[in-house]
Amino acid sequence: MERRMTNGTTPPDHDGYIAAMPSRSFLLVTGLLRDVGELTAFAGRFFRQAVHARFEWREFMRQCFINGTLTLPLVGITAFIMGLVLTVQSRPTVERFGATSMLPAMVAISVVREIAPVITAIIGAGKIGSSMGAELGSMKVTEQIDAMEVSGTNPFRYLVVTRVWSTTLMIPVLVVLSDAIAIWATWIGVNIKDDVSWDLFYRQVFESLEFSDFLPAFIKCYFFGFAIGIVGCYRGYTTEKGTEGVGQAAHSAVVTGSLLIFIMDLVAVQVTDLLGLN
Amino acid sequence: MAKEGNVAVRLGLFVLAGTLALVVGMYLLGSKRGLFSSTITVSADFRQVGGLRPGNNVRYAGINVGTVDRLTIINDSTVRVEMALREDQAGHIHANAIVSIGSDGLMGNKLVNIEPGDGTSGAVSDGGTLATSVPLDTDAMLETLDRTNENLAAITTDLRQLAERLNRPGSVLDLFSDTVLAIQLRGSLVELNTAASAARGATEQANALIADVRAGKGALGTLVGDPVAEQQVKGLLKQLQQLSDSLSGAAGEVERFSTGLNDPKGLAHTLTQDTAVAGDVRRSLANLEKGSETLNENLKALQRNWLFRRYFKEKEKADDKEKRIKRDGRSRP
Repeated sequence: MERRMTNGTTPPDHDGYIAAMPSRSFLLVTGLLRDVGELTAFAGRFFRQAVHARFEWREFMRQCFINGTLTLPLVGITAFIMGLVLTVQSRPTVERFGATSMLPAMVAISVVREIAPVITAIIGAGKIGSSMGAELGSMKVTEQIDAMEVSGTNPFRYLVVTRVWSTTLMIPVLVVLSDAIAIWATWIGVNIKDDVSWDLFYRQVFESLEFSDFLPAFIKCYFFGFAIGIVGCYRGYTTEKGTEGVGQAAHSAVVTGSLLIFIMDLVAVQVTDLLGLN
Repeated sequence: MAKEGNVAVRLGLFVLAGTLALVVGMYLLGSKRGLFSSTITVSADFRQVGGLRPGNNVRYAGINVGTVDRLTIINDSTVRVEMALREDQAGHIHANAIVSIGSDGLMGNKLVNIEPGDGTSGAVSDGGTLATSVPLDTDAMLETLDRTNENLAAITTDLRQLAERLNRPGSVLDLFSDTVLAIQLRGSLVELNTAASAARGATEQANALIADVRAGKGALGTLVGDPVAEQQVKGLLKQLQQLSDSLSGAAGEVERFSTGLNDPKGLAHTLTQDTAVAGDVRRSLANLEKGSETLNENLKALQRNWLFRRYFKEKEKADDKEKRIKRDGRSRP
């Protein structure tokens, strides 16, 4: 017998929800495994078509401009704020030990090794990944991709390969620039309380930095860029369910991309440690 | 078309800026490691390197002149440290310079310090070996510091107790604030000065006297300088020696007598030290005194007895006569 509330609506079926939990979990796990498998296959397809004689250079340049140049202001502002805030926040701690002269070196190492790569990649996952998911998703639901196939254009090579290559190559450039901007912001942060010349500051910074600080961080940025591009394209390229699916594609591109970045960062730290570069 | 060109220019600018930042960063990092300047390799052998690693800085006179290139264990007591020194600065390092391992501040990285040599030898050459000194052992240093701290704590405690004592009323510090004492002390110093002047005069006089004696002037000078007087003095001294010997013998006798007195078996010791005997003697003396009084009464009774009255009267007359004769004899011239 169906229960009815005073306003005539049906009460939530708690018992049924709990009873359905194992099947929901199973669906979640199988869905996750299916996503991982399909993403891997999507990446394999990218690698098969990544280097091709008919490379879409014009589209690639356009994507580099969008994903690199147009992302720089957002990444630059974020890097500036991060460098400044990190310096100001770290100052009381190092001041307690009378080690304010080590502040530039400490913040610079933090920025170069971790802050700039991860923050830039997260910003990239938010801006680039979501736009890719939404753009390719809307193309998918409006059957523009199918139309490209009909017209004889390889939509994967035109849409996916160019985008993934652009993010893979632009994210490291963005990270290098955000390193520079964050270090400059650190100098400003140091000079809020102290009076340190730029000459002395950059010497302190580069005196403390090693290749082992910069190179692993720089190399992992290529993986971050690849992850942002491949996830964004995969979510958009596999969109279903009409306009609702476009929103889901954009959303899941950001979430999955960010999660992948953190997982890759964890792996990168372990690999760096194994190689003795920490 | 113009829009596409604009995009390409802006993209080129973006990539160029990123590449430039990358190249400058790599150059600054590499120049620190001497990647863009020619270097020479110099080695030094240590017993232990205290955590030194490849890449640590090498300093000469406080300036970074290179980095540690390689660490090799030669045998169970030797570790070879190979250093890459910048060629333009290695010319200032003498072959007899001393290498030691230190650290950059208390908590900083390990580094190699090169102390300048005495300049008698030439510059160190590529592949050369420098002498080493024992690296600073932080553990030993901390252990010493710990002992020093304990000593310092004990000294501080003593100082605190001393300060408390000094601050108490009646301490030595009161003397410093006592004006009366200061005046007395000043007067004493004046008197001391006067006494010192007098002593100086006395010393001068004594010096003059000694000079006169040496010159044979005066009685003492004559005594010292005259051979006859010397013989007399020697004789006198000999007599004094004999007298001293006699006195020594007498003293020996007195000592023996005293020993006899102290002998518990002797009569004198018994009389002087034994309280029981002393009591007996005292009682005997009391009895004697009592007996004497009784005897005196008996004598008085005897004098009144008719048998002996005549004898006593005759004796009294004889005594009076003798006294008169003595008196007369004393009054005549």
